[in-house]
Amino acid sequence: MSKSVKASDERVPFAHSAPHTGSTSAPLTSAEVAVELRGVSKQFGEVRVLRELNLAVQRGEILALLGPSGSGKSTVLNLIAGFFPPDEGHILLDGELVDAVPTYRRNLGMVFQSYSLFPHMNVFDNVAFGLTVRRLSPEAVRERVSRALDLVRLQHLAERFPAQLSGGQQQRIAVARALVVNPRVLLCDEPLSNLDAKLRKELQVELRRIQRDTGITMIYVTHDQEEAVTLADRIGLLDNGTLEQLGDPHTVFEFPRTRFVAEFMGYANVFVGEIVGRRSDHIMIQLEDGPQLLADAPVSSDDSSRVAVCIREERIGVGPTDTSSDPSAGLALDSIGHSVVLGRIETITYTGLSLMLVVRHSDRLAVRVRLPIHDFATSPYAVGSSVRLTLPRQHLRVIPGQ
Amino acid sequence: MDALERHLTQVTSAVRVRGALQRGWLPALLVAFLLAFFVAPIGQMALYGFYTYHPFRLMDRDITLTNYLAIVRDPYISGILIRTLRLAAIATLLSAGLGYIVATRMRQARGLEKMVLALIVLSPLMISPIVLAYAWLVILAPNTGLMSSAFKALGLTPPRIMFTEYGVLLGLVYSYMVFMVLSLHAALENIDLSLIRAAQTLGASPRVVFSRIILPLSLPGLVSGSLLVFAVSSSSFLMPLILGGRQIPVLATYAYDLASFVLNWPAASAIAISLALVTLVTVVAYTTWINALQRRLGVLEG
Repeated sequence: MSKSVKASDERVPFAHSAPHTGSTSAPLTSAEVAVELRGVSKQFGEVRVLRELNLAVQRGEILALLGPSGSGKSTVLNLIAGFFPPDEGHILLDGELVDAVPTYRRNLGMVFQSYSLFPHMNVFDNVAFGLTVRRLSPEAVRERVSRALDLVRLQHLAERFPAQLSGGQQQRIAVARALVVNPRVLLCDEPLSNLDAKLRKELQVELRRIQRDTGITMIYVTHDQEEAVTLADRIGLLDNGTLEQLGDPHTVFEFPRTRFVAEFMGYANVFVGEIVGRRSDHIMIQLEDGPQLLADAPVSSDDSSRVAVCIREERIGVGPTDTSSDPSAGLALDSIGHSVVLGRIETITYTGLSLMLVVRHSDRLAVRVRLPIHDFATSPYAVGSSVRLTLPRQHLRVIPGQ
Repeated sequence: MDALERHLTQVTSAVRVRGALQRGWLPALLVAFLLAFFVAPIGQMALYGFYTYHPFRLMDRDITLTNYLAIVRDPYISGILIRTLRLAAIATLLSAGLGYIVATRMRQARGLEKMVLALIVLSPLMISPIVLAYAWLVILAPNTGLMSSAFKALGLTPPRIMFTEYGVLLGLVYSYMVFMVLSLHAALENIDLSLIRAAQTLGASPRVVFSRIILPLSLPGLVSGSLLVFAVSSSSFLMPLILGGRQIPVLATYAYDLASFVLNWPAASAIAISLALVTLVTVVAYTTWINALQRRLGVLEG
């Protein structure tokens, strides 16, 4: 997988300077903040869903809240919407404290996983709902509904009822219904999770376009890391009610701060080891019951020697075994300083675009490798054969404090 | 071996029952039963309504329309008919209003609260109506009742509820609201919470959420609840008898008096039949109207 930074993004990809701050952006001035959570905690019964969460959403950005189910990401949306109050902390919209403001006076738009179009109203009346509630004149309603339907390119479906629409059409209508009232923020609660993969990709692009056309601030809850990376300007990763990392997609994707983030962002190989040597630009790590690895990494002030070493399965090279190197003892490096690990292929899985190998080095160390393939028939690998794995030093991520 | 034999007997008898069903024996039996014990007695009663009352011979088989026409022509009886329908209609309206409050609360409630609420709502069905009626008597009895004593202790004049239409309404709503609550609750449970939340985010106050989302979407439940409450209220006998007394006759109690004390079976039959007919007509008219309304609101198309 060679996913790089979005074309529209000005940020330069970097390999060596992993940022270790919570947020990559400078402190925001209050005028730039559309939504802010200050020390928000929420508990349902015995379950602590959010723990003193602080979060500032910039005006005009798409912030993706990413996390597994039960991480508290939907609760964040529900608190911003005002469906229930936080136990502790405050929520601000446009710098204004909204603790005492009921949902219907917060001027929001929300899109739900289940589309939630009103089944007893046709498309026009659904989209018009927020406008008729605000008692706009019929002409103004007609004009704004028409513009909103144009935005989602479904003008021709105005007379239909929700049950007569496909899931993708329903969700686009739901987006139009939410945007027609010019909300200060659009809250999206896994809006594409009920759609099939192809349609999901289409709508991701469409949502991105709509966001660019309208400049709306969006908070987008999802459990799909690929969707978050595709859509968002910034990603906030939630686990157990705590913000694990907040940053732009590239940073979160390439430089996970915690083991949880690494695993959630698709790092298939996470090994635990101990730092046995530091140089100015790299460190050496002794894996438990395994070989030593060399990784590019800034020497952090963190003294802890126990670390997690992560590498994506796509970034590992595979080659025939080399008799000259003896991998069982200490650090083995190839000619350009990449760590070499020997192992035996345990399984091979064909996934269409790639081959997934599990290569076993020792009882406790197996490495997952994904190889792009163009022709399955010519693959030189077989279960049981010995191979030599190359773990490039610039692709190894070291997470301290394990 | 015993168990096997029992099992085989069960299987063969099940097969036999299914065979009977397929051959149409069982449905025929059911129809015969209904004809014999439901249609025939009602038909006979309708016929009695055309007979002539005789103070000594009970009735003569001389066909007359007097009994049926009296219901419309006799201002006393038509007054009772109108009161019966009015009380049933008001009881239905009150049940709907209160029913929405209770059913909404039940929908939101969790755990113990939900159980307790359900128990309270269902209690009128689980306790004998006679016990319920007499319990109300203890509370409402003029001069000696609990309510009366409480008012007097506070130095106030107790309101008259017993033996008034208010008393009858109280009894009707108390006894039959459960049908409304149950059918509204089922309808409300079917409304996705996110629909309500979507409306809220779009600026709908609780009042607007109710009138534009909850009410139209729970209309089928409201209709079936209303039909049930109206039907049982208009034919209710015990509550009007005990809480209304002879001062507030309704068709059911009046027919009972005619049949049991005056022994005017033809008049009693005519009233009973017309009560059933009026209820039927009301139900059909109401259903037709609601269907038209729903079509206009687009509920059926959705």
